[in-house]
Amino acid sequence: MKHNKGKTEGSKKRKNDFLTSLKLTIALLLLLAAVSIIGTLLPQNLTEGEYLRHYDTASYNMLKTLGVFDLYHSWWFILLLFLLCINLLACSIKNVSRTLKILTQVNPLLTDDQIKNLTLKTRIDKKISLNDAREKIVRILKKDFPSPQENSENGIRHFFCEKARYSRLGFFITHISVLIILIGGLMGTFWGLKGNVEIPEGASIHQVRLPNGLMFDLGFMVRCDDFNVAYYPNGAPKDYKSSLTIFDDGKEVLTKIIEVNHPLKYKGFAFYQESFGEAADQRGEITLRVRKKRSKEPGREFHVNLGESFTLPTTGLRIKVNRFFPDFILDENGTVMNRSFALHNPALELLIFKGDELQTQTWVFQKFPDFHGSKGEYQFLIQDIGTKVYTGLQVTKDPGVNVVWAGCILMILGILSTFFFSHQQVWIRTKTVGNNLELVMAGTARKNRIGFEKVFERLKAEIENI
Amino acid sequence: MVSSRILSVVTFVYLLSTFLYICYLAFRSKVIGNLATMVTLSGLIGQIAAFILRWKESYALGYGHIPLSNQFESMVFFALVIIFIYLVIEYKVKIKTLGAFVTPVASILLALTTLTDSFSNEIQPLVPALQSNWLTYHVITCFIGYAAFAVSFGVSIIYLIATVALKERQGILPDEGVLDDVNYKAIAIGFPMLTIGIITGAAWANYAWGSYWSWDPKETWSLITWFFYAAFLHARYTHGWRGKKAAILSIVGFVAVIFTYFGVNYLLTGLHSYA
Ligand code: HEM
Repeated sequence: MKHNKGKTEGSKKRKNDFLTSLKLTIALLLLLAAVSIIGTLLPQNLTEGEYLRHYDTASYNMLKTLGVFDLYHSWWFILLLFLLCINLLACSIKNVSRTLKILTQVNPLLTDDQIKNLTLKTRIDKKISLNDAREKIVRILKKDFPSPQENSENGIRHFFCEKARYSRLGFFITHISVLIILIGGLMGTFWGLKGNVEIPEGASIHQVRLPNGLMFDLGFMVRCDDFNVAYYPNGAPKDYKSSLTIFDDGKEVLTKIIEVNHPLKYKGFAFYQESFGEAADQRGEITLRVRKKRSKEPGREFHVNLGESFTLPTTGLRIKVNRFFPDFILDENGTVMNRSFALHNPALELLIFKGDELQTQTWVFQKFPDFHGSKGEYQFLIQDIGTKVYTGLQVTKDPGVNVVWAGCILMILGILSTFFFSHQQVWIRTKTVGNNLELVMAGTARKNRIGFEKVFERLKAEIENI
Repeated sequence: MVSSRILSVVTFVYLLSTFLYICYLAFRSKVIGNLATMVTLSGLIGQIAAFILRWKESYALGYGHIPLSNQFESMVFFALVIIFIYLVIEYKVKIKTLGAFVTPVASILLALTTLTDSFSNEIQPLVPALQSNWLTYHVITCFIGYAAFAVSFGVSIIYLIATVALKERQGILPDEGVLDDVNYKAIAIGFPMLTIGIITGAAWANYAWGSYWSWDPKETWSLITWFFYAAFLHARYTHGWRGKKAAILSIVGFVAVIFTYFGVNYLLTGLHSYA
C-alpha cells in the first residue's frame, strides 16, 4: 500500500513536472517553427481546382485531410499552440510565489549562509571606527546605487544596496504577454469579421460582402462622398483617398477622409482603403458644349445626366442623351458596339427631338469632336463625362485587436527589462574588532556577470581606501 | 547620384578593413589593429553620410522618404548596422579579431548591391502602402535584430574554428568564454529587436491591410526565427547549452534570418516581395 501510494504521487508529480518543464517548452517552440515552415512551402488556401493542377486526387485528398492547405488553422497546429499556452500557464502559476518573493522579499542583512552562496565576496580589515567609515561607505555606494540602506542587528551593522529589482519580473511579464496576445487572437477569430465593399461616389451602403459570399448588415450607412487618386510625376500612384460619411439612425454622424494606412473607425468596424475602379455603367454628370456648325461662336454649355434631356433655348429642340459607350467601335457589319468598360473611345448617342417628334439620331465622340458623320445643324462637343469611380474598402471588425496590442506592449516591456536591465545587489557587513573594523563585502548580479565583476572590483578598491 | 558613388567607395573601404583585420590576426600588431578600426570607422561614417545624402536626394526628386524602402536600400542599411554593432562590441569587449569575420559580411552585402543588376539603386517613389511611420520603425528594428544575429553568427563561426580547428594554437583567437558571452549578448540584443520588429510590422499591416497577422510567408518566417531563438534562450537557461552547442544553434538561427530576409523574397511569394 505504502509503496503504491508513493508511486502515484510520484507519477502525479512527474505529470506536473512535464507540464511545467522547459524541455516541453523547447520541444514545442522548435516543433512550431518546423511545422510553420511547411505552411510557407505549400501554397495555402487555394481553391480545389488550383490544387488539383499540381496534385493527383489521392494525394490532394490526403494532404487536405492532414490540414496542410490551411495549416495555421489546422487542429494540430492549434493543438501545439494550446499546449504552449498550458505549458506557459503552468509555468507561470508555478512561478507566482517566486515572483512575489522577488517583489517583496528584500534581504538587507548579510548572513553567513548567503556569503557561502555568493561568488563575489571579499574581506577587508581597516583601522577605522564605524562612525568614521559609515558616511564614506554610503557615499561610495551612492555613486552606483540609489538609496543604500543601513541596518543594525546584534551590534553588527549591515549596508545594502540594489538596482533594477523589478527587472526580474520581466520574464514573468513576457510569459503572461504571450498568453494575452493569443487570447486577443482568439477573440478576433471568434468574434471578428472581415469583408469587402465597393461604393460608387455619391452612393451609400449598409452591407458588406463576407469571404463566404454572404452579406453582413453593418447596422448603419456609409456614403462615399468623393474618391481621388494622386499620382507622382512618373505616373506611379501616390495616394488613394476616399471621403466617407457615416449615417447612423438617419443622422449624419461623422465624415473622414481615409487613405491607405489611415482607416476610419466606427462602432468597432474599421474601413480601409483597398482598391478603386471605374463604375462604367454608372456615369456622373455629362457636360456638353453645343454650337452651330461652321460658326465662330463658342456656343453654350449644358449639364445633363445619362438618360435625361435638355432643351436648346429659342430653337425648340430637345436633346436626349440616350446611351453611353466608354469604348465605342463598329463591328464588321457596321453595327455599333461597346468593346470594354475602359474609357478608350467614349461616345454618346444623342436623340434630337422637335416637340415630341424624333428628328435626328447621332453619335458624338469625346476624342473626335470634329467627326463628320454627325448629323444636324449643331455640333456637340463632349467637354466632360463625369466618370463615376467606386472606392473599394476592406471592412474589419476585430474585438481582440486591443488585447493583442496590450499584450504586445507588455511583451516589449518584459523583454526589454529582462535583457537590458540586471538586478544587482551589494552587501557590506561591518563588525568592530578591537581598534579595527572588519568589513565583509559581497555582491551578485542577475545578468552580465562579467560587467558586474568590474563594478564590484572598483567598489572594493574604493572601500579599501576609506 | 553622389550617394551611390560614396557607397562604391565604402565597399572598398570595408574590404580594406577586412584585409587589415586579417593582417592583425597574423601579426598581432597593435598599430595594424588600430588602423583597421580607424578604417572601419571611416567606412561607417562614409556610409552614414551616403544614407543621409540619399535621403536628401529623394526629397530633391519630390518624393522624399527615408531610404529603407526597397531591397537595395535595406541591404545597404543592413551592412551599416552590422558594422555599427560590430564596432560597439569591439569597443566594449576590446577584441579586434572578430573584425576579420564581420567586415567581409558588410562588404559582400554592399558589393552585391552595386555589382549585380538585380537590385535597382534608383530612388523610387513610395507606393501608398509603404507610406507609414510604422514601416520605418519596423525596418530599423528588424535590421538591428538581423545585424545582431549576424554578429552572433560571426562569433559562433570563430568559436568553432577556435575550439575545433585551432585547438593547439592558443592565443590567436579570443578566449572561448568571451566568444560565448559575446554570442549570448548579441542574441540578447537581436531577440528583443526582432520581437519589436515583428510587433511594429503587425501594427503596420493592421493600418495598411486591416489585419495584424495574415500568415504571409515573410511574417511566418520571422515568427519561425523568433520561435527558434526563444528555444535557444530557454535551452541556454535550463540545459546550460553554452559553447559549441550554442554556437551551432546561432549558426542555424542565422540561416533562418537569412531565409527570412532573402529566401522569402526570391523563393516564396507574398505581400512583402517589394516588387
Ligand atoms: C513563446 C513562449 C515563450 C517566450 C517568448 C518566452 C520568453 C522568455 C524570455 C525572453 C526569457 C528570458 C530569457 C533570458 O533571460 O535569457 C525567458 C525565461 C524563462 N522562461 Fe520563457 N518564454 C516562453 C515560454 C516559456 C514557457 C512555456 C516556460 C515554462 C516552462 C518558460 C520558462 C522560462 C523560465 C523558467 C525562464 C527563466 C526565468 C528566469 O530568468 O528566472 N518560458 N522566457
